[in-house]
Amino acid sequence: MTGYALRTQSPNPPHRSLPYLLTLPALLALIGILYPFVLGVYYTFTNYILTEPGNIRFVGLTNYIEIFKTLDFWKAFSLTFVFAGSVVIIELALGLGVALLLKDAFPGVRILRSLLIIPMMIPPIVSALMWKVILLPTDQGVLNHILSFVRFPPIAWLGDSATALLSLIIIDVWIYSPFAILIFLAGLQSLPKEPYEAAKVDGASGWFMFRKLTLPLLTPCIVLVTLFRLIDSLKVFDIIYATTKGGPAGATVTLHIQSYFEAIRWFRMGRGMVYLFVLWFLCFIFSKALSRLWTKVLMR
Amino acid sequence: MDTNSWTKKGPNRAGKGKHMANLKYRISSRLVAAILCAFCVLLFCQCSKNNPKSAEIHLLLNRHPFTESILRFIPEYERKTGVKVSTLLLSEEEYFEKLITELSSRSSYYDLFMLGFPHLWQYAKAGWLEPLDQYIENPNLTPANWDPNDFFPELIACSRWNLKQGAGMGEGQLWALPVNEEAYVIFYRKDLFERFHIKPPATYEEVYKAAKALTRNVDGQQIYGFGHRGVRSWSTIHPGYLTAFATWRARDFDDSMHCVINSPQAIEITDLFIRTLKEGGPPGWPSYTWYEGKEAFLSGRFAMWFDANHQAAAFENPTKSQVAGKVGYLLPPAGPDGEIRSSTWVWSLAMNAASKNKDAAWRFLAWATSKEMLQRTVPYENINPTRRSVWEDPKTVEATNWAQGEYRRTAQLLLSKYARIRWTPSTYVTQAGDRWAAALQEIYEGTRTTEQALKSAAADIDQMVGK
Repeated sequence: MTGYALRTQSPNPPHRSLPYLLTLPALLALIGILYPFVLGVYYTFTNYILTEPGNIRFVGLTNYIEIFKTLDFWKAFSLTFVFAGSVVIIELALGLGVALLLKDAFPGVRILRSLLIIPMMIPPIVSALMWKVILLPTDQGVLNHILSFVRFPPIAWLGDSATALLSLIIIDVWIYSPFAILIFLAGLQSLPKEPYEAAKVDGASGWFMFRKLTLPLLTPCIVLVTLFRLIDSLKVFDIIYATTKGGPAGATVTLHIQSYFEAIRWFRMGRGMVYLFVLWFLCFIFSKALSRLWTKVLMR
Repeated sequence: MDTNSWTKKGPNRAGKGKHMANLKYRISSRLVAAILCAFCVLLFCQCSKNNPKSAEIHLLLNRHPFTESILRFIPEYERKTGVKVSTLLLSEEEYFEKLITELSSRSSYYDLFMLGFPHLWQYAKAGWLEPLDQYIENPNLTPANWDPNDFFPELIACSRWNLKQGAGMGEGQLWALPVNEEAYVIFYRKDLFERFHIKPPATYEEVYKAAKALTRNVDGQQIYGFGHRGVRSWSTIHPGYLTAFATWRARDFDDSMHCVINSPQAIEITDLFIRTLKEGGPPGWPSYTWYEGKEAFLSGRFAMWFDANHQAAAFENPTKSQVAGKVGYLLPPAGPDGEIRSSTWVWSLAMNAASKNKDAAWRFLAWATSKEMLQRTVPYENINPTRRSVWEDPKTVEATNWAQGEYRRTAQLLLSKYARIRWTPSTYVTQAGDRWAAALQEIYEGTRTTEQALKSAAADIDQMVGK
């Protein structure tokens, strides 16, 4: 269709190939994306062991049935949701709160806004390693050292199943809250002033204005932050890989980490791909639902 | 381009606009074509990089005293031979992930790489390793003074396997050449033991008691009695724990490859070992890799550290260590039958079966494992040597004469008498070890009893092995 439209506008014959040429990179990218995906899905139906490349057999749904029957899968499944749910809620609340504080001009606000972006500029794996040092279990750890001044015994932040997940949530919130703050700040600064002025004239309280004006007007931003952060945190890997590698005692094994163990460390590529396929399916469902919601909100 | 219309109709606004649009259109289409061509050229260049010429070999290396020391001499090798040697150095976990990715895709890019015996068994079985006997026997490729019989026979035996699951170590082809050996000792702080009048432990019960007694605040610093690796990895099982496990005569697999890590002996020693860590170890034991444990001992936070004996080189180095001169070396404690047993580890260099530069790779391998080169790596902490002549060389004796010869005495005894590979030869060591380590963490965390955790791990490992 595009080709037809262009042909009618331009009489020169060489231009006929241009639309195809222009769509070629997209087509190549599509093949580049789809080929590994389809191959990965195919592997979920095979007994593919990485060290036995000549012995790939089709096993039907065996991998799915075996994995769905294990407790490890359901533990990883629920942990993925607990992690993703917690970080999204905290990052939304923190992002909105800090954005509200920083939206008005006051001395030093520009410096504060710039400083807040720093965690986002550091690669997550580096941030995670930095936090690993901060959270070291003995008083070598920065946090434990600080706590020792108030006579707090050292806490094994990443080495205790009671605190490991919490520590990962703290790390994720530290890295990604600036993203939420930035979006909310942009959203708040683009809000129309008139409704607020009208509400002020009517004597509305700050809380009332926040509830009835700011929140509804910011809904597209909230949906946007939720969409990005939910998908990203469902897929979380780097932070856990750099800090706990799923330990202690499986307290931080998410679907992605379990797939890494299955496919890369235990060479069971077929089983590893099942975990990744389930993860992809979850991300697909959530991104569809949230992007629909976003369109709806924008149309309103 | 409609130039005639422009000249005939004159430069009216509409004509100029159309002309400009056409010009822009042509420029942009050519730009896109140029970018695509440049992309293709770059892609081709990158791909052609993966086919190295014969005068270049690629090494994938693990961060280790051997690699860090051999890297110093590579420029000299390049000057002497004209062969370009490029290297990629990664830390242990990332290294093995990169290696499995390279080998499983049958990439020929890396000609040589480092491995330990679990990987040797896996990769040899998969057909990814080049057998080395033929190169050793070829006088055109191997210098006459490169003496294969100079290697400790136990270490060469670790590098041979006949590819049969559950047996056959020391038989079949030679798959790699050993460059570094380690066995396991308990490093202990002599000053602390003397100060608190505690006898160096000779049994695992005594280790438990000493660990508990030494977990205390010393001059304002919290000390932990006993340290060991703890992450969810087979490498946690391998040093002190497997040493203790073997001392109790417990095994990983029986003769029919059924996992037996839940045998009564296994449960007894595992219970004692984890109890020692829980009551006399640091908080957060499951987060310790050997890097962190070594650092903790170096900075004086552990009274005992059960790990590879060659870490002595770092502990005795006053520029790195706060405990230099205060460290003692204990042989692994005896078990219920009074016998001492230790696990051992051998780092080796192996050749990629898919390599396109096998002769050049072998020449480098022979150079790196020659007497001269292994001797030259000793001052850079590549201890323990895998060649007898290097171990007995006066320079090595002088360099390793720590704690009035205590280090050499224990290392010699371990190598000749107590240290053996305690894993059953199979391609399942890393998988089984990871699952086993998860069970140890469960016991430590109290989520399962020792019996429950080991039973469940044994069942999972049986499933991995296909039993």
